[in-house]
Order: sequence, then C-alpha cells, then structure tokens
Amino acid sequence: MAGNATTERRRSVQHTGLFRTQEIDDESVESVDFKMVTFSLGGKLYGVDIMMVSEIAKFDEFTYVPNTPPFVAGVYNLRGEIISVIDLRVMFRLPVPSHGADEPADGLILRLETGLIGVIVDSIDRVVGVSSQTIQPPHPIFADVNIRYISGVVEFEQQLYIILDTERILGPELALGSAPGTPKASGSGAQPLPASDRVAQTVAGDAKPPASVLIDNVSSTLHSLTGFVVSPVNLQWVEQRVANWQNDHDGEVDVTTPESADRFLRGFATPDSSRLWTDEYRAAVAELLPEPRGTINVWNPGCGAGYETYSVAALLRSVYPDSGIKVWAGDKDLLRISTAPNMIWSSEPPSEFYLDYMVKTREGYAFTGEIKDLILFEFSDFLHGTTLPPFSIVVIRDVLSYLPEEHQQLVVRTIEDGCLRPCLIITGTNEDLLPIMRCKDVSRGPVRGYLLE
Amino acid sequence: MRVEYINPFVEAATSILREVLQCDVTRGELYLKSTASPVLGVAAIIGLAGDVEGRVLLDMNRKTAVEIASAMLASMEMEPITELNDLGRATITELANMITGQAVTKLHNLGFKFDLTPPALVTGDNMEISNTNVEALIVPMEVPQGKIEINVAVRERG
Repeated sequence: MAGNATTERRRSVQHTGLFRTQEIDDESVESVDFKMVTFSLGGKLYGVDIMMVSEIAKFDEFTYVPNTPPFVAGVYNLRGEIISVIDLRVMFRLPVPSHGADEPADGLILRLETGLIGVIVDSIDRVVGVSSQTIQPPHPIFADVNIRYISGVVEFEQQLYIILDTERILGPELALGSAPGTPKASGSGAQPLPASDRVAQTVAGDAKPPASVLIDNVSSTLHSLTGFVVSPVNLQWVEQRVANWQNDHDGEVDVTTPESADRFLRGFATPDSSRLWTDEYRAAVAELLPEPRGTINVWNPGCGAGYETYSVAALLRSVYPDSGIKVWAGDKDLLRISTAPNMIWSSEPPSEFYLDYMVKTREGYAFTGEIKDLILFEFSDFLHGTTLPPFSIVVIRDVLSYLPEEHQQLVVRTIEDGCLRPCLIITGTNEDLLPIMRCKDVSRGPVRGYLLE
Repeated sequence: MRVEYINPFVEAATSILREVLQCDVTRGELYLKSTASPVLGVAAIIGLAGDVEGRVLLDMNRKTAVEIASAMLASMEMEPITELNDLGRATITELANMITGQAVTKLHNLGFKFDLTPPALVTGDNMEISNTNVEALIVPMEVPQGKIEINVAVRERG
C-alpha cells in the first residue's frame, strides 16, 4: 500500500466506458427489452439490470474501514460522494483471485433506492440485450448464490447468465438485517438506513457477515441436500450452529456437499433417536406425563423404524399399568415403517427396563404381543388427512424441522383440533414449538416438551 | 394405512392378475394419495367392514378394461368383447372380487377380521372419488393390456 501513496485518490475511479455495446445483436429476432451489464464471479456469468447500474468503474484505492464485515471492501470517494463498496465474491463466499495490490478491481456502481453503492466483481463482461420473455425463473442449482438473490436466468449466445436481484442483495436488509436471524443486532438501530449511513452502521456491527445472509446461504443447500428446513422451529439452533461453524471453519460457511451438510447437522438430532430411549430420557419424559383419563391415545408421526414408538409404549405401560393405551405411529417411508411391526434386537436392549416387556426368541429380543398390541403402525403421510381418536400425547421429534412451513402449520392445526387438552407434545431436543404454536414450555432435562392447554 | 394391511393387497393383486391373464405383471412403486382423486374411467368398488371401514377400488381406463375382460373370457374359451358390455362389466367386477377376496383371506389368516360388500362397477369420464380424511394406498400394476390401479382406503374403526 505504501508504494501507492502517490496515487491520486481522486482519480481512483477510472470511467472505463469501454464496454462494447453488443447489446443489439443482428440475429436476435425477439424484441430486446431488457439490457443487463454482465460480469463474472467465481467463474460463472451474472448480470444486473442496466437500469440499476450508475456506472462501470475500476476501483483503485479504498479507505479501509476497520471492524466491518469482511465483504465490505471499504468506503470510497466518488467525485465527492462517499459510497461503500462491497466485494460480491466475499459476500457469496466465492474464491477471490489474488490481485496485485496496484491492480484496480473491476466493479460497478449501482443505483439503489437507498443510494449509490459499489460492488467488486471478478471482471466486467459486456452489455447484453435480451427479450424479457426469455428470462427463466431461477433454479437452485444454477448458482453459488442463494436463490433469493436471483431474479432469473437467461441464455444469450449459448451462455447462461444469472440475473441478480440487486435490491434484495444490497437493499435495506443488508444495513443490519431487521430480518429474523441477525445475531445480537447490538440492540439499537436495526432500522434500514440510507446508504451513506450504512458504512457507519456496519462499522459498529459484528466482524462477520450478518447471520441472516449466512443462514440464507446454508438453508437452501441444507434443504436440497438433506430435506432440512430452516424455520422458526429450529432457527435458534441454526444460528448457534452457524456461529460455531464459522469459528471452526475460519469464517467459512460453505455447506456444499452432502458430507458437509451432514456435518453441519451433526448434533441436531435428538439424543435417543434411532434407538430405544435410555433410562435418563425415559425418566424425564415420565415426569411430564399427564394424569390418566380413560384411554390414552398417542400420536407419533414420523416414527421411522419405530424405536421411539416402542419406547413410548413400554414407558406408558409401566406408568399406567391399568389404562387403555394406543399409540398411533405413522411414517411415509414405506421401507422403514414396514419393518417396524416386527422389529427384533439382536443384542440386549440398552436398558434392563425393556426386558420386562420383551421376549427372547431365536433371532433376538422382540417386544411382547402385549406391547405390540398397544401400537398401530401406519404407512401414512398426514398431509392427506388423518383420522385419530382424541389424543393427549404427541411425540413428534425431529419431524417438524424436515417439513416446509405450511406443512408445519398443518401439524399444528391437526394437534390443536384433534387433541384432548391438556396435551403433552414432545419435540426434538433442538426444536422450539413456541414460534408456531400457543403452548407452554415444560421441557425437562434432555426432553423438550410443551403443554397445550 | 396400517402396515400389516399392505402386503395382503399387493400379493393378492399380483397373484390374481398373473393367474387370470397368464402374463407378466409388474408392480410399480406404492404410494399414498389423498382420496379426492380422479378415476381412470372404469372403477370396480368394493366396500370393507369389520375391524376397519373403507373400500377397495380397482381402477383402469376403458380400453384396458375391454382388453382385460377379453383376455379373461378367452381363457375360458369365450368370445372376446369389443366394447364394455354387460359381460365385460361382469368380468371386471369379478376381477375386483377375486383380488379383494384373496386379500381379505390373507388378512384373516393374520388375525384381522374384514367383511366385504358386493362389488359395484362405476364407469364414466372425469370421475372423482372422495372420502374425507382417509388416505388411499395406491398399488399400481402394469400388465400387457395397460395399467391397473388398486386403490385401498381403509381406516381403523374407532
């Protein structure tokens, strides 16, 4: 940097004006009604609506602002107006080719509702004119950029261009996301701010990209790779996880492969899933159980291979030796649910407790007919409607987190309409029911429980 | 639908179709659908009662129905049919009866008590069957004459 001391800062924006105006291609028969400035980012081609572009620039020298998110390259004096400059590659966590320090960076100055803002890209390509009718809606696999930030995809001369929604990316939300999921928004001033104030505001912010941006990035990948849906039910855990993940991975939140998605979700699954409940978990559930009233019906959607269903049935039988008990367990995975009614343990169960309810056969341990008769395993997807007798216990662990939010609502409605109050709801350890349902948190020890009164 | 009920219906459908049509039968992937579902054109319907309440629907399009009925008649050395006449309708109804009957027999052997109602045949275009709050198990079967869907919607008697 010292070598550049003589560089005239005022001249740091060189108006290139050199982009070839190939926009009106002779062959294009369709009417050209959408022009975009195209550029490359991490090897892919992107475009932004030319109406948003104030000018094309080469950024030379920024004034570095300490303690800003890494994607803020600095502030910049554009003919007397101070604008902030964002490095899109850092923001989208794309590789940044190492630049010579004196080499000016390619960029655009965008005119947003909130004011001017500069963005750095790999290189400016050209201006392309297309018919807006040929713009296709985005598909998640197209880009390394969260689909929320893409307004469309268009083909031009055998090249695919991803059109970025600049207002979404750089609009007010960036200022200091008032969106849910911003980490400790340091209390005050979470209002959207005009661009000129934005710099000052980001200075005060965390030294990391806003969690909302990171979470957005992670959530679409997680959903396509594992079916996990980031929603208010698990947002708390995801935020925490993103923070830890960044620390572990040096600020990176790249979740791009199935392996990394699994690694990211490690720790989410409730302990005691995919096996019979341990004594500790069972004891905690036992303390939450309601007083028996007539036949106790339990709804257990998403029971998988049936481990938790058997655990519940054995527990209820021990707590309510004289009551009628029925556990309605269902899963839409035919393969797993078909094995549930005849499950056999080749080795001893994890707790002696279960031995009272099991018989030893030649193949291994199986639950007694008495326990099996309490359970009804169904091949079922509750989206198609359910017919359940009024139930007073719901065991729905790590199921809501894999449902889109409208289906979560359906579950909430099914519980609210079909239950016998007070109804105990047991969710996954890292799931929070309060944002989607009016109920009382009665969690105890490792068990996350809610009471619907 | 209760897991134990699935196999008897799948097995009965496969073995009966193989037996009466004397041909290869392939089963598609089982799936669930909401019962407000369109019907292909010819539907034989049989009610179930006993431990459960519900119905079985044997569903195919008109062309498939005529060809299957013809094949069944031919195997009994009778004249094939060219359109869905009384004989054709009776044949398809009988097919539904055989499949459901065998499935219910298998279920009896497993300890479930099911009763059948006499079958009825419904034909027409753009039909839709709806039962509220029961989801249907679809067993898609592929035979040389076309596609047959066995649509089972039952629920436990509460």
